[in-house]
Amino acid sequence: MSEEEFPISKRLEDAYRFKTSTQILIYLISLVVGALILSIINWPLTDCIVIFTVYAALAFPVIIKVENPWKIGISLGLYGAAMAAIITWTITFIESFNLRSISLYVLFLEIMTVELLHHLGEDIAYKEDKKIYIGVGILSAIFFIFLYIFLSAYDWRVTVFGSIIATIIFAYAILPEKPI
Amino acid sequence: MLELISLVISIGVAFGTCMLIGLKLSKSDPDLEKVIDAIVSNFLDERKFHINSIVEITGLSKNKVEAILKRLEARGIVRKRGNMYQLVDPLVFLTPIDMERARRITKDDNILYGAYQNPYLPRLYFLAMYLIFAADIAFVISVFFNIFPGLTNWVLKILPEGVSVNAFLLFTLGMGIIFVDALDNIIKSWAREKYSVVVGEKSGISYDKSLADELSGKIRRGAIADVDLQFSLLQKILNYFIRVPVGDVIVRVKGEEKPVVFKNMPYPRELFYVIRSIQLGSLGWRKRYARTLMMWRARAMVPAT
Repeated sequence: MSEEEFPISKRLEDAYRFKTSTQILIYLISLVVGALILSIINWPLTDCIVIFTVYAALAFPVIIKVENPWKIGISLGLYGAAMAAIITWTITFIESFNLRSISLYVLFLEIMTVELLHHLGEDIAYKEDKKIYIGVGILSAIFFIFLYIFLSAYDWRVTVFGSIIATIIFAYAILPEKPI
Repeated sequence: MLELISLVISIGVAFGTCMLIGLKLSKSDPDLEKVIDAIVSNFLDERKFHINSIVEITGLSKNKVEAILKRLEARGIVRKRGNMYQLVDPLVFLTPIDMERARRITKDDNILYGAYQNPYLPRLYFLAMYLIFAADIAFVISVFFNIFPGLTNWVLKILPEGVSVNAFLLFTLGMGIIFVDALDNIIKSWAREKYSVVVGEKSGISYDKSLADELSGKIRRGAIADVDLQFSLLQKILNYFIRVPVGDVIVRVKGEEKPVVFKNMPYPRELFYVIRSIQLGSLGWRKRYARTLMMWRARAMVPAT
């Protein structure tokens, strides 16, 4: 075997992935299967639309591995769609305007906003620079304040230590991750 | 009906707006491409270059070139040494500290490949941690639909007065995601950057044998009897979906009965090619594909159209 026999493609990952057309086909099949399952469950249409949008957003970066501006565009588009669905749905879900309940809704929305961006905006979100760390700091501070408001109904030890520990876990989870 | 229409409209508008933002963000930067082209065309094989050389070749302002080089440096594409810059070999994924260690131990050899074994990644028990999230979802569903009244009553009992159960369930769902993500980060950081594998042009293969090792494992290039590439079914399936493809590279050493197995190496085919090249004593393959490899690494910043 000579070294002439070792061809490589422009994108090294291509040798390990499905062809682009196969990736698209698998994604479409997964969408159809998802829609089929939702139609069998027979939940209200608005709930089904929200779940389907979030599902489509979660599945996209896992299945579609092509790297081009369209992939990034669609990925961010799905992020926006999923967030719009989650926010609209959460607002209709609110049944109590109690400050502690509102804190929990805010915490849920904050977690979903960051985690979905983590998942869908991987190509643009990975930057180890000052701005990212400042962003993580601000988000963690917001997380701490709202969690503190919710936990303040309990014993002070639960309030203080619970808020600190959960905020550390939150900050650690949202820190940018190295691809390798 | 109005609720349904407003939901569909908000999803559509958000999709369109964010997609346009995504397309705008991923638009290629012609200045960045010019600089990458200038470096790849003129300074391959770790040749050092000064910022003024790039200014001269590209015709861009010094400030602009400096800013672009800083971005390339932050992404590990170029390395700054004093006033000079140097292209980092595209198949080197080591941290700067480990890269310096590798240079020192290989006596400043030309390092063609450097990465870490990832012993834990494609194991079923690693993936099993996502069961924690499944348990979280099961808890939320059973309370929401009151499947186990005792559980629902317990949740109602522990919640402060006036706090919505639904809000608490959504929060629990969110915390499940955060907990699994943090756990995933802990396991990855534990597994990552521990077992270096370095392939040098003259020094052959150097690798860490244990956590505290300093590349004591050595396979001289003349001692390589054979090299093989192996993917388990799980690795093969995972490679379709995970960000960085992995596989096992098996090196048979002359006079040794047991082969050396590098587990879950990133870009295993390329490692195989590099080892084959040094075994054959010819870097023709690498030279021929140097530009392609370099452009691939740099393209991470400039997505192909």
